[in-house]
Amino acid sequence: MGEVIKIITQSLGNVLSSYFGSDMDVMSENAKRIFANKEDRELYIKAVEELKNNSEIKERTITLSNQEQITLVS
Amino acid sequence: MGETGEYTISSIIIIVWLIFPGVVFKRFYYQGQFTKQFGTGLFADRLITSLFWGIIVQITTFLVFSKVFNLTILTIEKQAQQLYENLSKNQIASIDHKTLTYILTYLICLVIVATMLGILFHRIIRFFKIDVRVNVFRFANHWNYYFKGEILETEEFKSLKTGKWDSTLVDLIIADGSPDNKVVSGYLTQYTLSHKTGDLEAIYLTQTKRFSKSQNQFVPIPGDCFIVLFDKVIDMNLRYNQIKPTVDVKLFLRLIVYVLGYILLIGILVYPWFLDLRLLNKILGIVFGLTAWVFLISSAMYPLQQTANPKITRQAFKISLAVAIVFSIITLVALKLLPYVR
Repeated sequence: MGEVIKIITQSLGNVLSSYFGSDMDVMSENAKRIFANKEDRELYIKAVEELKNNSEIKERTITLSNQEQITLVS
Repeated sequence: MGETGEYTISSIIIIVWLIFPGVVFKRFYYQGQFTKQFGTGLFADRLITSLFWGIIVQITTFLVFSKVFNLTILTIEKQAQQLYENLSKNQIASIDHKTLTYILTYLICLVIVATMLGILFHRIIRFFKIDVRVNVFRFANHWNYYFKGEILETEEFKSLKTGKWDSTLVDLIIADGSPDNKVVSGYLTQYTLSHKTGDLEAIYLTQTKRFSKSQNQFVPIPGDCFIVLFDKVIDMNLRYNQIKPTVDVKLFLRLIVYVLGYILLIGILVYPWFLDLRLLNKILGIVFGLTAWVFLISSAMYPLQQTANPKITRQAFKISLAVAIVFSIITLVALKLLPYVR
């Protein structure tokens, strides 16, 4: 039950902050989610490095731990 | 009391009734990363804009107030005139308890309307990116547009837009006192502005690397957050990491829920004032309505977000929906909108 209440309060907080909070982030929700997971973060950083160091590569697709695919474009 | 006294009274009236609501409006209009703009700029400029927004807030509040309490300018003209004359003659104004309650309620209403309008204007400008596209609406904190990749929406930088902005990689050359300056690179997570000038003060990086001359490559800097004071920075290079936009049905549905939520919120806050009810019922209706609203939006968002534990999320969804339904019924009872409970 404690876990359920935690999720409910988190969700209520998210709703209130999305309507009344101010946008202070300089990182998208997607990037924040990726950076919160170590494996996903490493994949993301590696893909960015590849795009940065090789101008011939125009895009890199990574598969996150939740099987979601993201394509970084240069 | 002579001419000087009348001018003093007029000044107080202008400050309290026109400038103060304008200041409250601007306090909430300049929010988030733009909050520093509230206290900067020429005094005359700030005074005129506060006066302008104060008049808008004052008119809006009067329209709302007159609707709620069935007041017109004519009904309060005599009392207002009497009050002003007494004050001008240096006499104590005779105000009864009822009038005092009206004035207090009006002042509270004034602050609420100024706050709501400030937030609403800010949201509209930011949501439709009007400030990015139209220079007149642009906020003074130009760093925000660069750091968030919003500058890619402008004509000058449009050619660099290849996808949807996701994060910003920052390369910095830092003067550390040594003959060879330090070169670091990391992902931007936060930045701060100076309280006094509004200039960039510090930037916060994560996953930071420094250039090692001996290894001729970037090597990781141990630690979680790398803070750089901007006055030490010689050069800064930004790289926008962009992702290919995908057709995300859940994201689209979240946007619809968000917009519908706004419409519902305005309805909950405004509609009770048009009902022929006691003030207490209206206030209770709004309070219960807001509670139902927050639980309803929350439960609508559960199926549209990714979750680590679907079973617990399903339970949370059911409880939130039940609470939303209960509070919706209580709201309808308070507002006497249920046909059999009147």
